[in-house]
Amino acid sequence: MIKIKNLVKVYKGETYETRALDGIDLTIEDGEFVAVMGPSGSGKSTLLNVIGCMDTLTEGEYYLDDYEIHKLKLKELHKVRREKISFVFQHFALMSNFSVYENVEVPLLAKNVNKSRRKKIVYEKLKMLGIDNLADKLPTQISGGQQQRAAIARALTSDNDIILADEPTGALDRKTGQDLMNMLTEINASGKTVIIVTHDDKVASATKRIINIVDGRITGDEENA
Amino acid sequence: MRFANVLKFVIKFLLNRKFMTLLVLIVSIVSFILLGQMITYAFTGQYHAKEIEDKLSYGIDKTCQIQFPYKEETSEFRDKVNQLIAYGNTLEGVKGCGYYDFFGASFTELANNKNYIEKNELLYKNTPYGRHPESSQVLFVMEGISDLCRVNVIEGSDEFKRCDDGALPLLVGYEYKDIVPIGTELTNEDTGTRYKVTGVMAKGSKWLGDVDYLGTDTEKLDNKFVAMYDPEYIDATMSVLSSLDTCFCIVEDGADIKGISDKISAKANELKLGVFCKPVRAVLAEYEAPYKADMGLKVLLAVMFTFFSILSVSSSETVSILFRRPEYGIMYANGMSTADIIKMVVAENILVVAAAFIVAYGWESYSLLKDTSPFRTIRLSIHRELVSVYLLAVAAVIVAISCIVPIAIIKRLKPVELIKGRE
Ligand SMILES: Nc1ncnc2c1ncn2[C@@H]1O[C@H](COP(=O)(O)OP(=O)(O)OP(=O)(O)O)[C@@H](O)[C@H]1O
Ligand SMILES: [Mg+2]
Repeated sequence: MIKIKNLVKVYKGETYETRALDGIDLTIEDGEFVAVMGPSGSGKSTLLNVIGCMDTLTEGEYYLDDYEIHKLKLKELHKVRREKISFVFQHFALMSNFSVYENVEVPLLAKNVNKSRRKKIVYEKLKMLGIDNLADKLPTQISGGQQQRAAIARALTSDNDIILADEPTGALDRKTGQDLMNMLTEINASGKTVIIVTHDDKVASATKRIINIVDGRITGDEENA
Repeated sequence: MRFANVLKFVIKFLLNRKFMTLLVLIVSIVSFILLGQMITYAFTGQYHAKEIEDKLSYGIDKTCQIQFPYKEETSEFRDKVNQLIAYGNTLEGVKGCGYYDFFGASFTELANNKNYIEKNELLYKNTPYGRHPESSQVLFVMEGISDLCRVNVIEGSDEFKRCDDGALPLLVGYEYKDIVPIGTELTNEDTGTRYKVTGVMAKGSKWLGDVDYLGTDTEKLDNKFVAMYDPEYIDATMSVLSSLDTCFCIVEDGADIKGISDKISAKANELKLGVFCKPVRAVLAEYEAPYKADMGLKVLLAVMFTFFSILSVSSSETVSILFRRPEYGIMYANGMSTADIIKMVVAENILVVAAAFIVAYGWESYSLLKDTSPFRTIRLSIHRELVSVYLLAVAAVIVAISCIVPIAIIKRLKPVELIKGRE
């Protein structure tokens, strides 16, 4: 369970100070399917990164299952992230010099899973997403839709409970985006918490809860029938 | 992350920057080779001194060489040399003076000894001596310096004195211990001088060479005889002349070496001979001087290239990690930690430097094996004992220094910034 209280995130540079998140209170139960919406620069990605333990928070409290994230250093966040979080990005975030197989394998390497188990798991996920025949291809050799499937396969290999997707359909055409949402719906149905950031109402409507953010504050939080 | 997995990434990364890796490798290889050569040069003198010290019974400070810069092929010159040696032997504080030489001799008693001939055929197979298996290789050494080198006698007597019946002493090499037993009488076919076997030398006995004794390996005595220098040869101009490069004077403990050498020089002057008499340590130093001349340049080059090596390993790694920021972002997002990424950087540097070390060390080993210079053996031992250790230490330092900047950069990278533009 994700429980956030009065979360503030300030980006501070020599010449600027941006209050990207300004007092967020939010609870997300296990197994929820949530869309985060809002105008550009409203703090959606920032919120996702804080939830995903990619960044520390400036003020407030963040409880993730048994962890008190706000008390942890970046160094300790690596461990939490490894155990709890999987990401899917708009531009897929595949390493270009590594094959699909090698990309999908990364979370398992981080978890020190042995080779034979890695192979079994990776192929299982690749098959599930229908791209097991592309295992040896480089990301540049396959289509955007196939790349996003590889990215999802990678998110699934680690079997973490929370999947965070920042504009996952942003770089895909409508049809492929639709397929992706169907996959995420299935993944959510299998018990995982799925949180996606999106601009697209159609995409958001596939989820069960829609949170709106404006200027770093939550302005709406509704069940989606 | 496990080491094997770290390595997987590192090899991939290195292959992705082949050209840069090759460049860094070359600079590092050159620096290791130069360092290795510098170390070898720096220690050659020390090793050489120790080697000679080990060979000489009385060490390099109490063994003096009498050098004859000018030689004449006349009987007068020969007689003067012998007078000088005789004079040296009378000096207080002198254990003994004399010269030695290796050459072939024939002993009447062995000319038809089947066992002896068969043994020599075996021992000298494929060498020029193999054609005359009935003859013998003999180290003729004057009584005064008969214990110049450490030779142990395992059977018989180690006294090297004319026998009661007038025969000269002769020690046989280990290989002949059953074929030419103690007590065997031998007659030098050319001179008629009588010898008697008085001892058997221990296996592995050695003596300094007779040509360039400082630069060449020792002569093995297992397949040779050691005989007292034949008086007939002492009277022969050619054999004396050929022994002039191995003329030594051993002094006693606490003797006044300077005084002795002055007296020998004075006597030589009186005889109108120009000689130098100095401890082998001093002779060694002169011998090595030309090899040491370019040491300064070697040190400078080695230090410079080590610096280049550090610079190139460090900068290539720094550039690489800056280019790899997106990859690191992806790794962070997929559960890797800063420690994992630092491991990759360190392993990458270790791999490059280790590869350079192996190539450089291998190359040096190979070229030393093909080396024909007088210092080959010494250099090989320095290479094995010192260069290996020094180079590994330098390699460790190069890796350590080269990791400083990259690690500092990685520690400052924020995972969230690395995935910017990929969201
Ligand atoms: N690393 C950073 N340093 C400084 N400011 C930042 C940083 N990341 C984000 N910001 C600022 O914080 C605010 C929120 O940014 P964020 O990326 O969370 O917005 P977003 O809602 O995801 O926008 P978009 O829809 O364009 O992706 C913006 O004003 C942005 O400029
Ligand atoms: Mg964003």
